[in-house]
Amino acid sequence: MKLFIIEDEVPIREELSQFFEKYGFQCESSDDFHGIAQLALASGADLILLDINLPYQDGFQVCREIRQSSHVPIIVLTSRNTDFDELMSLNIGADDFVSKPYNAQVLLVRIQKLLSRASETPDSVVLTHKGLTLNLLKAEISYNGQDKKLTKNEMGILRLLMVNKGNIIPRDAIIDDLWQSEEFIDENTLNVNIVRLRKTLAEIGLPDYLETKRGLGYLV
Amino acid sequence: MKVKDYAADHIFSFLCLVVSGLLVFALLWLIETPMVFIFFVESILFTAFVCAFLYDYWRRRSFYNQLWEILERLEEKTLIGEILVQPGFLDGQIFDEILRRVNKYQNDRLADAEQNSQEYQEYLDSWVHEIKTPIAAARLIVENHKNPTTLRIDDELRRIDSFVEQVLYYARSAAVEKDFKVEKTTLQALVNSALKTYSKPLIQVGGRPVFSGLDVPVCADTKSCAFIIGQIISNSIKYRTENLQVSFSAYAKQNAVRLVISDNGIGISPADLPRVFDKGFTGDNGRRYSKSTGIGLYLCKKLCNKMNMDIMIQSMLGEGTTVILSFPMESYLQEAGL
Repeated sequence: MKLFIIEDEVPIREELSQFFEKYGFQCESSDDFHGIAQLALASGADLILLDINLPYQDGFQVCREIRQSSHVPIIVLTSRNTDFDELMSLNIGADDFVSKPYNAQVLLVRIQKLLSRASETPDSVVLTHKGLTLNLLKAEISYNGQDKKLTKNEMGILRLLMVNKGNIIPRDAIIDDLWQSEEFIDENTLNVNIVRLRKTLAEIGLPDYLETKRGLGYLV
Repeated sequence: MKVKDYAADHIFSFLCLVVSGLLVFALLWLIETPMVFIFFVESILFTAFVCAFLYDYWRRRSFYNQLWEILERLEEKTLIGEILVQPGFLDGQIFDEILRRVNKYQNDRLADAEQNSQEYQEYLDSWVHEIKTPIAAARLIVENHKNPTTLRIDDELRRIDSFVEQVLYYARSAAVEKDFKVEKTTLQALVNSALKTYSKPLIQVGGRPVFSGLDVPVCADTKSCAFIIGQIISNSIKYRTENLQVSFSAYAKQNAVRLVISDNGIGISPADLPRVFDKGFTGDNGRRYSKSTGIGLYLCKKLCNKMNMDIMIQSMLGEGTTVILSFPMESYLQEAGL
């Protein structure tokens, strides 16, 4: 799956690319804002992320230009979070609207939704680390040919740890991540989920996959 | 203008009239003029004076009464200099000219101030949007490099973001035009979105949200309402005791759906309670917990007023605080043609 990012702020562009590449997307972008619409179309991207404030022309114009020849899904990303912008974006053919500072996870979910609607057979989004594969659409882990289903919370915890492999993730950050997907759990529920996740991992032959760093957090 | 007041104001002229009348009478009596003549002379004298006074009284009365009436009916009082009809008497003309000049000066200053405040507000608006870009970039960097250190930076970034948001709503609350987008949503969705914004501080103090019966449809401006609920949650976090619990529930009452947000915090003293919505009011709690600015609840009240919503607060010192937000019901809005 390929994303084309139209954004003139270099740090945002780079970090977005880096973020989506972790989830297995290919990302492309350009500094040439003169013919950015043509470039985006020529790249053959499956989805376009579009900022409103651009040099030469604004994002609305770019969106119109793209819409003249293509139905590729477009998500508008902007800091101008006025209702006018939102209505305008949706009116001229954008598929979704996200305002800054956006939560990258939320953005990812929206992209996945749009992509699965656009293509009949959605590619599975998978994360792999130390031989363990996590399929985000099916909520399944597999290791050495063995599959196991995970609950929504368990998958959320494992996803967060696998995306940040090698880094310690504090407990409050894990709880916060689940809150962001509207699972308002507390410390005790987290403990229960971690225990169950460990048990599932042990069942497929990875007993020490999830490490505890005392007083700091968890790590894979 | 009353006759009595006018006469009192001209008491000196009347005294002069009486004195001159007496002198004329004395003079004519000394040269032995017949009484009939004296009477005639005195009559002429008095009639002339009284006529002059009456004419003067009538001119002034009609001018000032008109002036009062215009002032009463005028919405922009400072425009009175423009509307005034010039009076026929000299001091009125001078007064009229002064009033005109003062008014003009005042109106120029007013227009300047209005323009300044307008420009300042526009600048603030664009500044808020400018600053969101680096905040977004920094938060994306954290997202890509999560570890205990960057996550602490992320906590600070979120705080910056919520302060920036407060500036945005402060600027908006002063604006004359209402740019609210009312849409169908549920109380649960509004509460969730506020909880997500204040998730980190709430989790860090071990706080727990409790919901009951929030699956109620309401028509509201999602962003502003989430901001208001967020301010209330942030207060609950600030003024907490141990085992913070914030509970959200709802009930319907007379054309309105009420969202009840209660915490088990330190509460507000009865003396402070009526003033918590005042701008800059921090009260006892604010003095003890130095971080209060007295802006949060003030903004909530102002935004609620603009959106035709009600906000009420109840509290028992040491037991907790309850804030009730009242959303107009959909059917009621339809009947009102909104």
